[in-house]
Order: sequence, then structure tokens, then C-alpha cells
Amino acid sequence: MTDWEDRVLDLALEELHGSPGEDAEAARIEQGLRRVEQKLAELGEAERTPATSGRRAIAVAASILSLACASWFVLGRSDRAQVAETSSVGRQEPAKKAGVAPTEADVTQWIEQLSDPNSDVRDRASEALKQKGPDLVGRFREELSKSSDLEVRSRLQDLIYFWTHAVAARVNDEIITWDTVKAGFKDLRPSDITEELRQQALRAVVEERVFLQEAHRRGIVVTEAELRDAVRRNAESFGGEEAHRSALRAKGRTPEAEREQVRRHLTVQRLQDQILEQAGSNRGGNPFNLDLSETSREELRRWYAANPEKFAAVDRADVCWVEFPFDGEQGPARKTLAEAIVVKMRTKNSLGWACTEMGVKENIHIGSLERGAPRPEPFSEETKNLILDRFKFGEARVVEDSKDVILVVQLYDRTRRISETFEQAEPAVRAMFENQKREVNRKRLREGLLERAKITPEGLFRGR
Amino acid sequence: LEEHYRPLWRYLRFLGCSDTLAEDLVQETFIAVLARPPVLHEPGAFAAYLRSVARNKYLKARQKAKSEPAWEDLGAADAIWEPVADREDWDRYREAVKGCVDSLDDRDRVLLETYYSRKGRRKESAATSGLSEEGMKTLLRRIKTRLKSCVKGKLSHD
Repeated sequence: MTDWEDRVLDLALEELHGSPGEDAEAARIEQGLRRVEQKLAELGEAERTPATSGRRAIAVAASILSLACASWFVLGRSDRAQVAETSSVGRQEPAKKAGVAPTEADVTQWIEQLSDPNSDVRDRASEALKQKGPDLVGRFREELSKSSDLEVRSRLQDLIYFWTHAVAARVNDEIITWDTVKAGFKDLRPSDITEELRQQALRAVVEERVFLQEAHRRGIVVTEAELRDAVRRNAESFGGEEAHRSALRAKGRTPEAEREQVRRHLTVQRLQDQILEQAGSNRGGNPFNLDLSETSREELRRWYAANPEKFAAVDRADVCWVEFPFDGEQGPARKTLAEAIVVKMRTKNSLGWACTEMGVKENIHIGSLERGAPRPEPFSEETKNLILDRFKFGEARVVEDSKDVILVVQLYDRTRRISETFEQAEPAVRAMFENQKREVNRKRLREGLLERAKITPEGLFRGR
Repeated sequence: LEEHYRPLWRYLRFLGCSDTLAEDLVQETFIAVLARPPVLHEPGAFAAYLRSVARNKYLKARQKAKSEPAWEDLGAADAIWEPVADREDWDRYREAVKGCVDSLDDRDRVLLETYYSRKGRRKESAATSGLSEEGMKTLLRRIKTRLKSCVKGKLSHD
């Protein structure tokens, strides 16, 4: 019979004498949780039901929420009153002071409050210390070595861990954790996530936060109606709500996450418009040095004249084809294979994929057939005209163009344009110029905002 | 989950898992629970639920290794574990153990440190302490008996 009491004592003694240290423990736990996350991602991929994982996540959140609610209801009335009291009056100092530069006295007080009998005060002191950034890590370590209070030690360890492992960057007063950055890697395998990719994703998140913070400062808000409208347009561009939902599922994204992304996108767009508009109405106040010039008609005309090929008539078919050359009696067998590839294409859509499926790896080409231009080999003039006149977008056919080669041809892109005079082309040319200018302005605005923001780590955008 | 990681690992170690098996089983438990999240309405039920899943995982692992423990034995284990299962209770218990270890005389304290910092490798610890393996075993048993009664006293006093 096992002496279980002995086991409990053994564990405690192991922890007291044989523990590898708190940092190592925290790293071990983080590694373990990461493995769980990876395994779940693999399972989700294996099941190919991304929607289920979303539902599961929601179910977990719901069960945690139900637990939280239950805890609230089982708290005695007096406890609830006490919590309510402390959250409304009295010990609010840490939360209030979190927004201003802390003095040494503030920090000392918050550290003392980590052992306060009231958990609410302890939580707020932790939060206030957390907001103060990596500069205090040294101080946390010092306090950790001095304190024997388990609660204080555990909170200090959490703070040290947070600033040494969990935080990816800080934008002004906002903290960005690696978890936020990693959310963008949902559809990547962990082995594909390189350091460069991590840094790239971090820069994208930081950049967006800089824009959003400026929008917030200026009071820019996207209304629910605007958001609904944008989401509807987005769904329409996918060919309807159902198709949009499938596309999201394929990417492992929830409609809620998509909605929030649209909201952020609209906010940033509105910020850019506002800054541009303000700079345009008051030339003296153009802090981001935006290009506010108007493109003259003459300039557009010069560009039109310099690029005549862009406005000439075009009738072009971009095609992909596979050649089956044959000698004598091989003809029928080659034709059967060619027809089988066309049948395969009904499910595969792409000629390349269909060929791969049928074991054909050679003589696959791509090229363009243009009316009025020389035809590429091995197409005859007749076949070229057949493709330009009769083929539909995406269509594939077997073409017997000569006595010693059978072709399977797929039309994958079609360009038809009539020639345009300057007057006809002017709106499109102007739009192109405006787009270029918008891009330049967006870049200047980005640089300006990044320069003004306080970003840690400091070298994140260096040389970019 | 982070909050439950260590207590669950400790529980599995308590049941008799090695460090690495406990680590694996904690991860398997989390995966199983996240794959089918329970709907619980009692505060504290989540930790107990995790323990029951982990215990089943442990039993399966033992079945595979053909060394299945007795159910009655595990029932007794849970009864002993329950008072120290929560993080705060465990910290209180460990603090009491620490207090009792501090009150031991120097020789016994050094012996404990030597033994537990070597992950219970008795032979090696005995050699370091200049004792025979059997002598080390007997001494440890005595020290632990003293510790257990000291811890009980401390906790009941608190």
C-alpha cells in the first residue's frame, strides 16, 4: 500500500530542494503550453474543420465565463459588498497612477501593496507595475531576492516573466504581447515561422497600433452601420455570405475576428483621409509633408503620349498547353491520354494539376496568343483564331493541330481592350496618378507617425 | 491553463508519474479538455475536472505499461491530495514543510538537501553523506516521520 502522505511530503521537499528555479519552471510551462497549442492546431488541421475549433474556443470561453459567474454568485453578500466598495472608493491609487510617470515612492508603494490582504488591491498594484515597463525588471528581481512572502514572490515572478518573455513590443503606453503577434500565424505550421517572419509580423502589428492610437487621439470612430456596410461589401466581393464564410473557415478565422479587422482597416483609412484633408485645407499645417499637388491635364497627356502601347487595342489570350508529340501508331493512345486530362480538369480546374494527377510532367508550357501578333509554336493560325474566337475563360480542349502532335490547351486569362483616345483614357490615367500619390502619402504618414511614437524595442523599424 | 499547469503536474507526480510522464500527461489532459470543453457551474470544479481527466490518462498509461494501480489505492490518494490541491493550499503546506525543515538540526537538514537535490538518488546521496545506503534510508524515514508530525502540528495551529 502506498504511503500517500509520504508522497506529498516528498513533493514538497523536492520543490524546496530540487526545483530548477522559477524562470526555468516558467519556461517549461510555456513550452508545454506551446506544445498543447501546436497539437491542437495539428488536430484541427487533421480534422479539416476549422469552424469546430472556433466553436470549441468559444465553448471554453463560455465555460470559463460560467465559472466566473458562478464564483461571483457563491461569494457571500458581504464579500461582494467589500469588493464593490474597494473598487469604487479608497484603494484605487495604483490604477489611477498607471497613466502617469511613476515616482520611486509610487513603485515602492505598489510593491508593498502586492502583499495587501485585499486581493483587489494586490491585482491593481500588479497591473500598475506591469504598465511601467521593462525598466523595473531589475527592481523586481531585487525585491524577489528580498521577499519571502509567497504571494509577493509569485506576483514578482509573473512580472519578470511578463517583461522578459511575453512582451513583444511597447507602443507608447500600449503593450503588445507575442500572443497577439502569433495570432497572425494561425494558418502557418510552427516550423515555417522564422525569426524574420516573427519580426515582420511584429512590425505590422506595431504599425497598425500606431495608426489606431493616433485615430483614437483624434476621436475617429467607425459606426456600427458603417462597419455592417463594409462587412456586407466584403462578403459580396467573395460572391455572397456563404462563400465568404467558407473562405473565412478555410483561413481559420471567425466572422468576429474578421469584423474587428475591417473595423481597424476602416479606422486607419479614415485617419489617412482626415490628415490629408486637414493638410489640404491648411497648407501651412502639413506636419507629415504630404504631397498635396494636383496633377495637371498636361502631365496626364504627356504620360499618355509616352506610353502608347498601354492604350492600343488588345485582344490577347493567355494559355497553358501540354504537347503530346507522336509517331505513327501512337496517335490514338496519345489522344486518349489528352482526353483523360481534359476530363480530369473538370475537378482540378488547372491544367498543371490535372497533368500532375495523370503523371504527365513534360512539355507543359504557358504563353500568349495575340491577334495581329506572331503566333508561338506549335499553334497554327487556324488554332490561334479558334482559341481567340471560341474558347471561354478557363476552358480546356484537345486540339489536333498537326499530324505529329496533339495539344491540350487551356485558356486561363483573356484581355480584350479597344484602343483609347486621351479623352477616353484620362479618368483611368488620373486614377493611376492619384493612387501613386496616395501610396507616397501613406508612406510619409507612416514614417511620420512611427517617428513620433515611443516604440520599444527601439531598432524595430531601423533601415525599413 | 497556465494557472493549472503546475498543480496538475504536481498531482500526477504525486500519483507516481516520473517528471517527463507527468509533463506529457498534463499536455494530453489539456488537449483532451480543450477538444471537448466541459460545461461546469461550480467554482473550483474545473481544477477537479482536470485532475479526474489526468488520473484517467495516468491509469491508461499504467495499463499500457501493465502496472495498473489498485482503484482503492487511488481513492485514498485523492483523499490525501484534496487538502493541498489548490495553489494556495499547496503553498501553505510547502511553507509549513519549509518551517519544519528549518527547525531540524544541521545534519538532518543537509541530508535532506543532499537527497532531494539529487532527485532521490539514494545511493549517490548516501555516498556523499558518508552513510551506507540502508543507513540513509532509515535516517530519511525517521526525519520524514518527524517532519510529517511537525507539519500537521503547524497546519492545525494555523
